[in-house]
Amino acid sequence: MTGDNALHNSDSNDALAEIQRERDTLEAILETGNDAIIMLDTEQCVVTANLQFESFFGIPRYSVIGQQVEALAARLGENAALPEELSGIFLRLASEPSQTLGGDSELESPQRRTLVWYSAPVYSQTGTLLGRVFAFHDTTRERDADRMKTQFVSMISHELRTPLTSIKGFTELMLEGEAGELQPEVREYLDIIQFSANRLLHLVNDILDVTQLEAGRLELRPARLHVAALIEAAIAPMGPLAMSKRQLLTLELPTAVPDAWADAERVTQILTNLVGNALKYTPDGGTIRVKARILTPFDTLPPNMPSEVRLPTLLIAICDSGSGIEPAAQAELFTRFYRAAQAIESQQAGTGLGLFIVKSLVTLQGGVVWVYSEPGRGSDFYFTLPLAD
Amino acid sequence: MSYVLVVEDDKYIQLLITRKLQSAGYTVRALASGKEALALALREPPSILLLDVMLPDISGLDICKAVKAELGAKSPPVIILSARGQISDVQAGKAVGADDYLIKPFAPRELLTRVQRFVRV
Repeated sequence: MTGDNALHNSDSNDALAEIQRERDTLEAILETGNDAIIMLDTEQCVVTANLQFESFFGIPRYSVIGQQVEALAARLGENAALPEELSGIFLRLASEPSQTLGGDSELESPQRRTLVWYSAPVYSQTGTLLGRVFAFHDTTRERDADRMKTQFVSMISHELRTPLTSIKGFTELMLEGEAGELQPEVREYLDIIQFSANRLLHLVNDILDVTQLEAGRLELRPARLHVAALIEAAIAPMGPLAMSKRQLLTLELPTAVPDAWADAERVTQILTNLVGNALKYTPDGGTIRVKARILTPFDTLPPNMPSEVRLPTLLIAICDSGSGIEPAAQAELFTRFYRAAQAIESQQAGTGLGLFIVKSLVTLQGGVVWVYSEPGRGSDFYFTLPLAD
Repeated sequence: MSYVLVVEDDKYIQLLITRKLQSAGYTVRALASGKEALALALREPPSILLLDVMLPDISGLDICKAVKAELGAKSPPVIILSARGQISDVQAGKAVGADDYLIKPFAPRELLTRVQRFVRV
């Protein structure tokens, strides 16, 4: 019998040692990770806080482990350099059994950090709720790199404007005959310089816009917009290009188009992009129609309209008789740098930024943009803008 | 003597503006130094002041502010010429009392039109 007991004891000792080893391993993993991890049990008591917790928040673990969440929140609240919302996050979520939430937090002390956090309930394998975990990931380097990229691109695109002013300016002076009469060939070459400088400027503007859109720093100045007049003014400069391609560029407006609430300059940019694309991808002799009207729930809805469109709204359409867009390309069309195979094959210049900018500008102003296209029949681009009233 | 004062540190843009305005009949004085320009503007107020923003010594915005403050109602109209075209940049120009704001690259023809709005030859 004694032998049996001894065997039994050594078995359980082994099992205990095994459990201890697993525990040590898990703890070591927690300690080694780069993220701050805190866990509350179902009684809202802090059961785990790892080494990174100490270094991120400057609070010794022993002062919070075993304490209720209120004590943890109070400790965080004492440090004026920590963002105020931090204690709130813990308090609010501690009593939330099922919610998974996340966000950003900027710390000033003990070190400047940008933290991305998330919190989720923790369940055992059998489905018993064990508590809630909070994890904080340090993204300071990524954010800094991102900020530097934004600053760099912004600096470059401003710096490029100085030489462009001279190139475009002196070309204009020569074309206006300020340096004497021009031989036809010289005029042709100057036109090419001017055209190319404009393209370069366009590119510089697009790159600056994309950087600012990505950084969430694009500024808008919405106001009451008389849409009909705005569309007319926006497409007027494209008349000569349409004429040179023998294209029919028409404006179809009902007698009363209601006012929109949007940024005039940015709506002009959206129109210039969409109408410019239509002219570019429609063969010579084709038709481009620009339409605007109010869209209410009682109207026939345009094809492909996404469900997020809120009615009533102002609807603007740019319909061309071009080659249309393949269904696979339609889904990708508004993605940054995307260029449809047809666009590349047609050897049209482009960066794939235009429609990304259009989508961002429309979305930022509370509108929706989409496309309806059948290959061989043409493409219809639609966008909405909120009504002024 | 009535003249246009151009403050621009890029010598080619300075030349561009000078030539365009001269051929339209304006008398132009151009400087690259903000401090010199400010002193001249206060000593002999021009009929219009064209200011680049990023100058090597003082900012065009500061020149505008100082001229408007010193000369008050007698201060010349000011057009800011800047590579920065964000809404907040334009607002910063208006905030220091600028009368107009032109974003680079500008067409010389457009610059002339803007100048003519304030000052006739």
